[in-house]
Amino acid sequence: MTRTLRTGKVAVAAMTAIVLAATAGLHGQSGAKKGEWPTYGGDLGHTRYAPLDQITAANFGQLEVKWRFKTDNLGPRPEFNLESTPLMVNGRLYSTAGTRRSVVALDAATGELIWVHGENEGARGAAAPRQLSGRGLAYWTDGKEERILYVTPGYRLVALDAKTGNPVPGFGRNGLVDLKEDFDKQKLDLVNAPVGLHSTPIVGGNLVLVGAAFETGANPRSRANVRGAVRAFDVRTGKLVWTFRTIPQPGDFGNETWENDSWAYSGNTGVWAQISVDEELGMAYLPVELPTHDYYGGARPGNTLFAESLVAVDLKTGVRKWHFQLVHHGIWDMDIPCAPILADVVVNGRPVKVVAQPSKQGFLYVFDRVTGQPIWPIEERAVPQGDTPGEKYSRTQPFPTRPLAYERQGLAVDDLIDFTPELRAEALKLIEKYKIGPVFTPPVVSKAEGPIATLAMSTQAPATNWPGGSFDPETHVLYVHSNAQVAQLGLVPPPEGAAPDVRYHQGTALAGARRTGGSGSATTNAQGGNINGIDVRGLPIIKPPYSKINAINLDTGDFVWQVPHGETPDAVKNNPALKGLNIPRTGRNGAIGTLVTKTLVIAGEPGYGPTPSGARGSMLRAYDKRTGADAGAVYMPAPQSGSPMTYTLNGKQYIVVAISGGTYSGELVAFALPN
Amino acid sequence: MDRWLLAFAFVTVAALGIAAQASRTVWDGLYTEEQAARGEMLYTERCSKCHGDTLGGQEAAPALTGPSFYSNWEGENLEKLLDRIRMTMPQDKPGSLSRAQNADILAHMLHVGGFPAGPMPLDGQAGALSTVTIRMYKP
Repeated sequence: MTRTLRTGKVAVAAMTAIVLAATAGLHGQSGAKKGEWPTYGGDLGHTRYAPLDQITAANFGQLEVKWRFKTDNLGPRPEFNLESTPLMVNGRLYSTAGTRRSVVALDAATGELIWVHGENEGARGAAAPRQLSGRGLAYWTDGKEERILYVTPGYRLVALDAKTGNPVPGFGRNGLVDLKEDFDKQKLDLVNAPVGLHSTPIVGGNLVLVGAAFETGANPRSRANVRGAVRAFDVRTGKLVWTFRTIPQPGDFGNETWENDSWAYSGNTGVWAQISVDEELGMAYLPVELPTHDYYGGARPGNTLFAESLVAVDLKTGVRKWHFQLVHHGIWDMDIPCAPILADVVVNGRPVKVVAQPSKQGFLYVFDRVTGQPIWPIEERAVPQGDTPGEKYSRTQPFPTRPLAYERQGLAVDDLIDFTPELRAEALKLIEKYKIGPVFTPPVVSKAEGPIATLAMSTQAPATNWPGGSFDPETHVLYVHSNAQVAQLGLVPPPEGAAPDVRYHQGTALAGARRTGGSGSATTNAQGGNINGIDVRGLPIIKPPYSKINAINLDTGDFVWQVPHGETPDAVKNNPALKGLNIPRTGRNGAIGTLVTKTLVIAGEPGYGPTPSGARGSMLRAYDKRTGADAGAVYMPAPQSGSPMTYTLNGKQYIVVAISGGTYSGELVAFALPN
Repeated sequence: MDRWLLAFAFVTVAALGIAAQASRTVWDGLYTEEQAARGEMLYTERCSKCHGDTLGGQEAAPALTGPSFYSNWEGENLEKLLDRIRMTMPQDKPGSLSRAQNADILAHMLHVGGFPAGPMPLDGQAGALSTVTIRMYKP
């Protein structure tokens, strides 16, 4: 069922206003061109860079809202988690939005609605594992035709005429390709099969590439699930061109890494993060997630390629060119969460095309993107082994030697809160019943008498999540936001009858008898007081910063700067235990995407927090990209929930960011300087 | 009593009542233990799959207790939280719970959040909670 809304007058005016792009290959690896933002990541290499310079440190604080677009009525109810990065091409701004993941085309100067397209997928939409508005869409043109492509919550690939919003008749069946069909020879229930996608498709070389996402994997109902695979479709016809199997079947390279024939039933191992493309090299870079079960691998012994691997494939054929497994036999939920960033840099005087992969574990992995060779050595090192029954641990894991981890990993006594000796003592007491250790310390079977769980940063509570990073092609500096948060990695038996062939679910013994398939992580009351949590008097058990932006020179692997991101949260600032202490800016936790311009790094603060006026909201912040120094901030009524993008139209630079959260429903906000 | 004095007393008491209403916070014993227990059963059935047995959250859904949750809601009125639940949850069937059921679930959240119970159940009728402010720390 398709409903396309448009007003005739607007549509006609818009049709006459279209100025088509001269070439199809306009999105390279060096940032957004021509003042536009034609792909999710600004370019196909996800640099999130635009060489625009009207908005600077001198005037950032003067930014004002030029328009807002509220998304409440694009579905049957408002949405409070708008994660889109919109596109801007030829004066039009395109975005997904609303609870049904509708697509809107707006006038990029005024925010006026030009057209809207939505799919009411009924039961199929309601059963989707990845609901709501998703992260955005893709744009394609051959110089004449223009198309918008996106994936619905129910996992259908839709091609729309960018001028009108109407489905393209020659694409698939009336503009739609059912992604649950022809999916690596799997017979899937078209309504209930739990597969979807919330990231955007990517278009390169006249192909549209699509990954797969599933229900989150802490508490699977079975060791078996739908297998992830990456597919490429002809952008003109919607015809399937190739499939890359992320779980190799018999005869495929890597099949033997799935011991006990676990390839036969294991699922997931999808690519739910953004894929990157190098059209010049004719390569696509696939960031792959874990196999079924995020924390227990007893049912899938072996290294299980291509789980948690960065895989480079031939763009035209999908044939593997190289791969690198970042985590062997993963049991930490370290699936690769964000776009591989394609960067052209100079290492030891030699120009080299690299791919840099930020990660949940806080390592930045950097490879020659032609050959897959690490730019700096990545060493296999022995890692702690566990004693969970039925688990078969990998004895070693890959450790990048450069750059060093950009966020804290694992947990050590030195990481614990130290505002006062009393707080440190409480933290030490608290961890007595927990296991702590360096990165790759395995989860434990939870016992009330201890160990209750393994405590670790940069795992399930990730250093970097789906928004990923940015790269400046002029200075060769990569920017990435990261969080320091402690997760509890404990294993408990699943609830009776909930998952007959699964030995453990994530949880802790303290949470009591398990009742549902939901997580049993221990928790805290409003002030962080103990029900059985790991906060210390309402404060994080670790010392700040709780989040920061990291600037890393990709020519050398050196850190240029690291600054806390986000004003100190109220829960810390007003905490009675810290009365009289001067707490410097701590940063706040959240999934935050960055934007780089000619002079600035721009990112919204995570979550609600103190604002200069005292109004409830959050600040959009700018930093001097060379030094990390504050370069201005502007108020937003809700925190950034998508990643900011920028463009120039009629001589004016705009910054658009999706905001939402708490009581504030999804909204696109466009900032520009006063006239 | 003088008729005018009586009227004055009445107005004063009413005004004080309104002032008391206007300054209510989640610390004022707004739900009953029994209601929270009902809410826990509903929560387990309809919410815990995503938000976790103990409201601790999981990858796909945030925690519904703890300092970061309450930081995000600090200073808001409780009606908005109820409305958010009522309109958007549970995600697989939004709007399928009655006002009374949503109020029970909210009572469970307040209970886990460490806010005290009181003699009267949380009132889920439209507007009833619009004068209640969410405060992480006891005012």
